[in-house]
Amino acid sequence: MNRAATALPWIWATSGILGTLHTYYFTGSQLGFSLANLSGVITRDQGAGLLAGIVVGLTYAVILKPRENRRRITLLGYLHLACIVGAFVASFVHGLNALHNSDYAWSAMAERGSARWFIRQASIYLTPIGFVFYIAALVTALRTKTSATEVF
Amino acid sequence: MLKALPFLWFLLAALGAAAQFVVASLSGAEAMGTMLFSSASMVLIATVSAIGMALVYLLIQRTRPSTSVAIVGYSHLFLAGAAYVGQAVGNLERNRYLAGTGGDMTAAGFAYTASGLASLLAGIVFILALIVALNTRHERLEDIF
Repeated sequence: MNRAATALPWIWATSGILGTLHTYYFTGSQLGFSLANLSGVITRDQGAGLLAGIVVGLTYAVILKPRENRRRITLLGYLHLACIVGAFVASFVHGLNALHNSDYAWSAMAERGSARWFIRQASIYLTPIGFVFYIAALVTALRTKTSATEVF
Repeated sequence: MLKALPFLWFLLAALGAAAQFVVASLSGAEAMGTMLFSSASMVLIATVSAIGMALVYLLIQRTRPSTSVAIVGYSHLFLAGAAYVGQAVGNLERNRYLAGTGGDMTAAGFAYTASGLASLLAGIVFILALIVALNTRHERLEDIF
């Protein structure tokens, strides 16, 4: 568990880098690579952008310092990560299909229950669901009774 | 000062969601549904994150209150508000581009970039708020929960 807790902030940073490449690829290939499209590299897809990933990773590094409840925070952190990675993969598949098949771009018209419908739903809802785990991790950390000297 | 902070976050969540409706309605009644659908994901994430932050500050206010965390919290709120405004302006410009009434996506791109930077700074400030809160003595946990 200790190793898992130590690895969590680093995994977040790595997922941020992957998210950046994904967003920059799609934004750049659709609109051309320029300073104006830098937004995709930062946080337009919140939780997936490079710097957003690093910021979330740093947050976990801070809240994982207290020893109490470390296991629960780690678990919530990995659930949050799983949701974001799921949203990222769904968004990637959706975007890839949108690029190569113009019909796919309007997935709002996809038949309810079809694979493309599920992919679209996952790309929309998994990020906010993941955020709920993030808030739960923060709440757990703040409820942990740890003195300042124990934390830093 | 800290007491008002969670409620201001709730207010920001409501205003942010309302702003997206206003932006979508500006593109005309026919296009409104499509514009809302295209920005639904962003609106949902932003609203959930603002409500989540409100809950976190509510907990901080009850368990680890301090003037320092209030100051950092207000800075966080200000930066998040700026990110919301940038996102709304970006969506407005993007809708104009999609409707064919705007030039290109450059203005939207810059607005999204400004929004992204504000959001990033807000994240960093939030980490500071957490550090300050975790360093503040935990008050009577048993009385609160």
